[in-house]
Amino acid sequence: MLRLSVLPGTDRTVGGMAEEHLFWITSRAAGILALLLSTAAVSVGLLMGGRIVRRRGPDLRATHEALALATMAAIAVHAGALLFDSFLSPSVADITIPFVSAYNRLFTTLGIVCGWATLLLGLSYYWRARIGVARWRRIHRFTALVWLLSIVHALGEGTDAGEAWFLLGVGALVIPALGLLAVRMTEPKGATT
Amino acid sequence: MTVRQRIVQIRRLVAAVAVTLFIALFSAIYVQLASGNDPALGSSSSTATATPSSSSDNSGSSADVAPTGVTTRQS
Repeated sequence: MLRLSVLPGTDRTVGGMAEEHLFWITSRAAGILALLLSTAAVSVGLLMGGRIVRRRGPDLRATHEALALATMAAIAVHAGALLFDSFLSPSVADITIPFVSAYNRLFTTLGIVCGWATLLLGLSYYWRARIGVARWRRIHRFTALVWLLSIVHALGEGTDAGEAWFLLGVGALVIPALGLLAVRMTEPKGATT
Repeated sequence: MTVRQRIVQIRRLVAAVAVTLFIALFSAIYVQLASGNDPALGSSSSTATATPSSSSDNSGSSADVAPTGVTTRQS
């Protein structure tokens, strides 16, 4: 967790610090947004493939796709905004290549791997004809694993991970999604698409 | 409404929700940081402003007084 300390006697106010760290705040907000959107996307995806929702139609598919694209955009902002943060000031390699950043190496690496995996798994949808639909479906199932690991990244490295509003807000979406995933995983083979 | 129009409508709705959520999260974190209640702000600010306890042994009190200025740390 990134920690900033303001000590008395300084000419820099806490409010001034907020203005000074706009990119860092942007990255934090985008990271939480990415987690919320990915949770929603995974939930809709599980509803599409399972037996819970009978009527699938284009609405669920379009919602799933839009949520996935929004997640990817939020991940790009989450990582990109850090480049302009004056305190952390990471290099492009720090935020794109695993194990390069010395800052909280394990959870940062986990976040980078999850980010790339989300982008690749998400965008692979547009190449599914070339990949092969059956193979693409098998690959696409790894999205759930990446989503679970991204929750670990958020809880392990997220500055707000210990805050009640974060835990309540994220938990309200993540816990039902975990329930959907459990239902999907316990469905008999052949019952899912 | 055609399927295509419906899909565009869903995309716009998701984009609007995402932007609204981002603004809400950004505002909440900004206010949290500006008001001094951010988890990234070390507990040293409250420690530093606290009056030294009425301990009979004051030999270590100087060590409890934080230096002035801004420090940053990672944990």
